[in-house]
Amino acid sequence: MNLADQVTGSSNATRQRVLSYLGRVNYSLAGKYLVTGTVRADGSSKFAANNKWAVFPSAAVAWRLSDEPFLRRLIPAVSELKLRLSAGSTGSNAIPTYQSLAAWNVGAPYAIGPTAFFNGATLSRITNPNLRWETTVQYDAGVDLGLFGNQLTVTADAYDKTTKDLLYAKQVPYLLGFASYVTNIGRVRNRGLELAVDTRSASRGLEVRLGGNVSLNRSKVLDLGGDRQFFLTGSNTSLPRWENDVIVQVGQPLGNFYGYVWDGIFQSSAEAAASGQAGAVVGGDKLRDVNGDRKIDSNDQTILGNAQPRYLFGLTGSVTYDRFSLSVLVRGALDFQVVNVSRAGMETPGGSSNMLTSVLGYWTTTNPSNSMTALNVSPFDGLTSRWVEDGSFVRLQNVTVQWDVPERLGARVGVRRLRLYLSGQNLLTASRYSWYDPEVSSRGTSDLTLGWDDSNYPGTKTVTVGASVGF
Amino acid sequence: MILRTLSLAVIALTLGGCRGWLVEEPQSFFTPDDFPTTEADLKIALGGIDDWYTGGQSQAYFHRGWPMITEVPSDQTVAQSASDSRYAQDSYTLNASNEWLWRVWRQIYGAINQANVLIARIPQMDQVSQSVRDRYLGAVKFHRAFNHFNAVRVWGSVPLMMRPTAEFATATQITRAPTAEIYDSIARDLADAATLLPLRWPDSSTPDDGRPTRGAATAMLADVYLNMSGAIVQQNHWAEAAAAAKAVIDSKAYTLVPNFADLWLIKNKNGPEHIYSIQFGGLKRNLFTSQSRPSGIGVESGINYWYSTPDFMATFSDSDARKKTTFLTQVTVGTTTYRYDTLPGFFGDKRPRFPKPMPYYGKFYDANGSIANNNGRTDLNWPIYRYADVLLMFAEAENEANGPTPDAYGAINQVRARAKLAPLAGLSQDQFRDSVHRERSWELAFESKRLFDLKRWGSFYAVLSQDPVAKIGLQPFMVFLPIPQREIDLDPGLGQNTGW
Repeated sequence: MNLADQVTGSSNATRQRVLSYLGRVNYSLAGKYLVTGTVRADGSSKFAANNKWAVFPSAAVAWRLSDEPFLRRLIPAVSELKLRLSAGSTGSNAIPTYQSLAAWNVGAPYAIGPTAFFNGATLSRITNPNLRWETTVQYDAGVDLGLFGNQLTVTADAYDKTTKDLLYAKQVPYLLGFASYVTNIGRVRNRGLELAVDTRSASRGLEVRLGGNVSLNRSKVLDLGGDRQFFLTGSNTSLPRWENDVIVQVGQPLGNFYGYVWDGIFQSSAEAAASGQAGAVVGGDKLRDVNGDRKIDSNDQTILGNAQPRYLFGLTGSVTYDRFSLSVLVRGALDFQVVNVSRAGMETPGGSSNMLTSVLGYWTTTNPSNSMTALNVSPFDGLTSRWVEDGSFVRLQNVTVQWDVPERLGARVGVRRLRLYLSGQNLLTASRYSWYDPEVSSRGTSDLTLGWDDSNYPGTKTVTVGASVGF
Repeated sequence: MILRTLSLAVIALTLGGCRGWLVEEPQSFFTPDDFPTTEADLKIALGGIDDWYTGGQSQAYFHRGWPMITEVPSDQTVAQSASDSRYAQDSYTLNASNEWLWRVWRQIYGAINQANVLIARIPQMDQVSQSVRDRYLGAVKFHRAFNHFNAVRVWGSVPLMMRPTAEFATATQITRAPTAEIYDSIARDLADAATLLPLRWPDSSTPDDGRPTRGAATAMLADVYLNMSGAIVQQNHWAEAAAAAKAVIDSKAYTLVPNFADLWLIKNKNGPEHIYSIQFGGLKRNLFTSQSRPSGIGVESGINYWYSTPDFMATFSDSDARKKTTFLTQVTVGTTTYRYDTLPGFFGDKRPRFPKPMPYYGKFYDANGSIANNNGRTDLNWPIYRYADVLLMFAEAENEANGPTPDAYGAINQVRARAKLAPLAGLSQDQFRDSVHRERSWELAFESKRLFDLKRWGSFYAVLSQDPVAKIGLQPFMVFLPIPQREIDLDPGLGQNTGW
């Protein structure tokens, strides 16, 4: 079905170039002491004329303790032990082309009297002579430990990563004629720990592997180029239309939701009238006067949650016996929030589009609900904690069973090798999140805009039955 | 170490040779170094300003935002819904985050910045003849004035932007200018534009083809002087307002369309009465028609966002030839006739919340079947100035400056004659004033004039506090809408309007 009565084509040409030089030195002493040094110079066409080049050095040292005779003598159970230290910087040029150049774009339709034209010119950028590489400096310390002939292995890493000159489309007041511009702003630090443990045991043809990993990352905004904070706003063409619903603030992690605290529903006209909240009506959303000045305004907005999980974990297990094997992967994320925009659009009692059945509990004088507005009263037009939900989940990510068919059976049907398998992805999710999938992200996957669910397709559940055949 | 030193040396040697490799040479856009350069460039740069009014910028302001913040909150229009951002405008329960505020604000200042870029550029375009440069300079000054005028009438004191944005780092410390200073600047821009612009463009067959003209700039100047003489600015420019309106009349470029109903047909747009209209057509069909049309009337259905009121309709005399055109009370589509007052479910509105049936806008309703084929849009233009408005502006200003002179009667009676109403005679200055006010409300209904008229007449609160929807949240300070919250958050020096 083609609803458009006119279809126009358009064309666009962009070119980006990258030029890199790389030097590396490896040095190994008796196989026990390892040193690596790298220096690279990267040039990208995307940056301003005088900022196209940047140099990124890095160095790493490692000490294979398990090759030291004294350690073997002292602790014979250790089959492998390696200590690692590294420091280095890398660059990012992940922005669209031409962002340092002012631009007039041609192609806006306009009309002069009865004649339509399609080549109106509009301003889309001004020059940014300071646009340059985003640089990340990372320090990492790690241990690789193997015990009992590597039947038990442990890998642990700690890192501290600071990114400066972040490339970001910074919002500017509309009164300047633009909405945002791509620039380098501030510094963000990420610190984290990663721990992985794997075990392997085999006896009489039965091999069992069990493993687990856990990681945690803490981000913190260190500097925003002099600003204390900035806000993001939902896309103009789709929900959420809420203004300033994400806050990036010095001293805070990335991914903070920003809005009003929801205190349920106004139960009387008197309560609504006394609230100091513009548009307050009985049966409508009640917002909290966070700063206690007896009126509800933007100063009552506060941080409502964070999209970055505080803990990520995974568990793996596999059993192999003879020609059969079974493997299971469970993973999860704990302690983070999701904004359920989908629900926000479907909880207006009496609305003319599809609504959730929860609206049937709408507020009336005889049904003084504190969770659902009254008939024809839509939710407050802005982000409130009403839509912020716990996203923590545990998911059975993968289960695979496979069987290698014996050659003699395969030979009967003319194949040399035959493997049959049954595999399921994303089979079960345990979560208190009320919509389909707490892992979706409607506003892109940047650290700033994770955690928005606006009727996205959830992750799919897949069951695969397969055969792999070799002739 | 030696290796490392070597590679650094190699890098250093090569960098110099490769500078050109990383230079960006745009293929798909122009830069201010090379654009605009020719007359053809100027044409598309001027056309691009319209993008803020009608085009790709989301919900451009003459599709939706402008009637949303100037017509819906007036006493002549009511939003259909009782719960959304339109209702918030209608009932004065909006807050500073209301989406229609920042949409219109953004589009106004986007257009102003593009005008400023061109105002700075055009005088240096030595490849283009002086007469062409004059025309385009006049046109972009008109656009800068038009948008400041819209902003100052909606918000009062706003930033006065007279230079193109050159950098962002310090530009977020812009503050608002006093209202009187903004009006002075608008008047200067329009006086310049009126001098620089022709009565019609050389390649145009009508005075109004959507490009600014001397008539458009002069008509707007009359309007600006009326506003400066009103309750908000409280200066006395009545004589200048009358002179500007008279200059438009004396240009003899415009006449009233004899039959009021013909004025509103799509086939008659840019006719002899139109002085300046926002152009819709081609790929840019308007949404505003659809928003004031009932749904549920077959192929002529719109999206039923707002309608007028029976109380306003009752102020029209039955002999007023404008009444039937202004209000939509009955529609025949094929063999079915729908009426606005047939219960249950008045046409369009299946869940009426008002005791009396509500008439829809008739002015923008041209039942020619085209709306169904065009995704709910039509090619009708949005009228900014037409000759009847200029006659009434003249009558009002002349009466204030010199009393009800024969010229003042002549102007208002032309408009009344077209409406088949008896001529006025023998009125006191006060009676004449009341008559002009009433005449404007009838003649210019739904054309985003009413709310600004009430403000400058000083009757904003008195009239709207009698409006059953507006009075829900109305307070006297709401004569100015709140500055969009996003702007204050990004530029705290702006501050909020009193009361919000």
